[in-house]
Amino acid sequence: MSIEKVIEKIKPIFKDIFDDESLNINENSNSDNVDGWDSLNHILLVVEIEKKLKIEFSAGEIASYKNVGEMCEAISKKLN
Amino acid sequence: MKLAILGSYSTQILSKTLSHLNRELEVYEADYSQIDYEIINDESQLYKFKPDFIVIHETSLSFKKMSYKISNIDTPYYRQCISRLEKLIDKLNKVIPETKIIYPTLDLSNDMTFGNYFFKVPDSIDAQLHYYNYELTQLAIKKQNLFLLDINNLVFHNDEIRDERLVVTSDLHFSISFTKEIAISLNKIINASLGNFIKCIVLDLDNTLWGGIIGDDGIEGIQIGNLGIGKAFSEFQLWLKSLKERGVILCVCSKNDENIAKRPFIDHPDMILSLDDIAVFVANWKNKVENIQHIKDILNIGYDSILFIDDNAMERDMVKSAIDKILVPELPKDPALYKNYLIRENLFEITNYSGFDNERTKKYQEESNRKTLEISSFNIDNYLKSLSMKAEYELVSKTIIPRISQLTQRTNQFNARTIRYDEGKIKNISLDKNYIAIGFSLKDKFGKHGLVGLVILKIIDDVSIFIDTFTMSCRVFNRGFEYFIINYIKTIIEKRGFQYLVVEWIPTEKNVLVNEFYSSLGFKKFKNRKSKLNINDIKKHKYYIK
Amino acid sequence: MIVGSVFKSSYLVNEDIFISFRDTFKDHNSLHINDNHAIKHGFKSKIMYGNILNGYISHLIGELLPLKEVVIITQTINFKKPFYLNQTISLSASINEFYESVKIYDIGFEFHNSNDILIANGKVKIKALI
Repeated sequence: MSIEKVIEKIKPIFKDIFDDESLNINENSNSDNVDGWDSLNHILLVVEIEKKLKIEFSAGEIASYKNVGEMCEAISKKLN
Repeated sequence: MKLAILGSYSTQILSKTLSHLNRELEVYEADYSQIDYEIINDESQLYKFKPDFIVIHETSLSFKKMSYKISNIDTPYYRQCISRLEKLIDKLNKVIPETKIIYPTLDLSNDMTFGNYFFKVPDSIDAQLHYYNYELTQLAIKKQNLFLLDINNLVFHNDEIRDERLVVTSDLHFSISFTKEIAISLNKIINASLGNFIKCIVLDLDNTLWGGIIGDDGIEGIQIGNLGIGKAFSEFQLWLKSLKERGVILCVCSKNDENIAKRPFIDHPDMILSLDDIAVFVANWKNKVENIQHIKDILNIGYDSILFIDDNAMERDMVKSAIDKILVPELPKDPALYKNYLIRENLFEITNYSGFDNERTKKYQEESNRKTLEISSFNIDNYLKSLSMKAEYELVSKTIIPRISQLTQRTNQFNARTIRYDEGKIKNISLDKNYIAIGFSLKDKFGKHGLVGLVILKIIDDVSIFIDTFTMSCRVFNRGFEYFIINYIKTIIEKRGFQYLVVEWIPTEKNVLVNEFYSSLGFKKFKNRKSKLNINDIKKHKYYIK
Repeated sequence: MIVGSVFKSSYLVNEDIFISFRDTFKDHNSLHINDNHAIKHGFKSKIMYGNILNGYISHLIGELLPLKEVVIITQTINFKKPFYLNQTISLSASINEFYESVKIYDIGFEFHNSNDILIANGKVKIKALI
């Protein structure tokens, strides 16, 4: 699955966790440029993505991604 | 309501969940792992916040972590921990004496360094964990403002308790889903403390307290004890009895004749609940909403303290739509699962208990004898219209003969002549030109009810026709279905040129209803129990089938 | 009688019915008369007259519907599978539409055999005269 498709898949999860229907994320989004992306929401995000996409992140992976792009690359590999 | 949360791990998810669950809560979350500091320091944010409730949450992980730091090796570790906790509680009671403290017990997860042998090694950290939990129970008896939450019971009812990755990355000691369960339980304790708890259970009888229908199956046929799945109902009654012993008021609300409904309580050897256990016993043919209003008035409590238990989805739905605040759990279909389902819902938290109150039940029984049932303003017409009931008519023929025969065998209450037909006889009737036999099924928004009515007509002569059989399952009482059927029959026989309808009511212990029904249609002067009416004179009645 | 009501009946297609139809309408087509001939064409035995089913529609309307005076305006039937002597055929009809201004009912029906195989289906439009 391409990065774009993965972003499309996880966008609704972001919107839900951040409680913002108008939220837009792209490859460069990260905790620096997205309002409210703190460690708590990060955990909720990761767990929800795992549940919805039926994949698993390791402990090391959970906090390692620099931005959405990197996360989606990893997700894309897990989906294949 | 102010709630302070002090944890030995990252408590953000717990706080966030509690805030969402209970909008009335203002939550103060102490900084990470600052339990001792917040409590010992007189000037801390905790005391400035002046909380009504404090949750102090420690876990087996923090218990074990701290054990490596102790310097005092003379006193067992768990004793040191309990001493420390007791000092903290005493300090809280001194500075904010009105505040209630909720402390979840430690999860008993085992590191398996000794396997199961740890029980024999008092110095092992796994054993110390168990001792600490025991000491907690003793502390809870001593300290009035301390309330424990049984974490290990929650573990029993849930999966995925701990997510190790979250422990490692974020110091979250429980999984997100389990944290939510903890929050739900904490909220129940808080609500109980505020007086919002279940004070009364209103119980249906048929298929709720026993298997089967007392009006039809009789005392020999209902399932309690060893008969059929009676055990499920016995277990359920036992549980209800223990709730009653603890002070929850039990009431009955059933669609039945009162005498018939009371019989099992008096005569059935396997009944666990007795009439003495029931504070208010209501059994009649009125709709349950009215009856529950009546019960509420006698007990003088709010609807939000009442739990209504009924196996019938339609009854549950009707009560829930009429009375917004009453609690109506969606019972599972299998009676064997009733008890555990309700246990899991954890509906009976309390924070105050003064022992078994014998007098109260008696008082309500007397009160209920005095009060008469008042007419409620609940509009049953609108409710029944909303059910979207549709009927199905089937000429009795080969495919439904077994079910038709069964209906004549099993129905007792709405059964005009109580003549039992075996399959052979039904078959003969279906082939006999002198008989018209039609079966009725009903469907509503809850699903199909299957075959629920039967009329067998017998031709007497050119102008008269006789109702040989008229039975209807009690499942569809109080919907006007019988009037719907009569109206249909009227048209069918008029079509064929008949002018007179003849009916007969053969009275039994159970079928008084039929007499009332035929009378309401205008059949009078029962000569030899038979009565005749010109078809045009049959009174019309409103029915709720659109 | 409202939209959504369902009416059911079942019928044993026995020798009497078969003979009556044959002798009344005098259809002597071999498929209906001769077992061997029918078997050669892939049927189990001689097949019953499809129009018997139309007769049963008449029965249903006359006997089960709670309408005193009614006439059939249109009747269409699709014969899906053959049926045979001494089979029990069940009929299920439901009221699909009611046109109040003209008192016309649109009814859909289905015939099944005892193995629940669809034998025929169709529609009938009836008018209530009063």
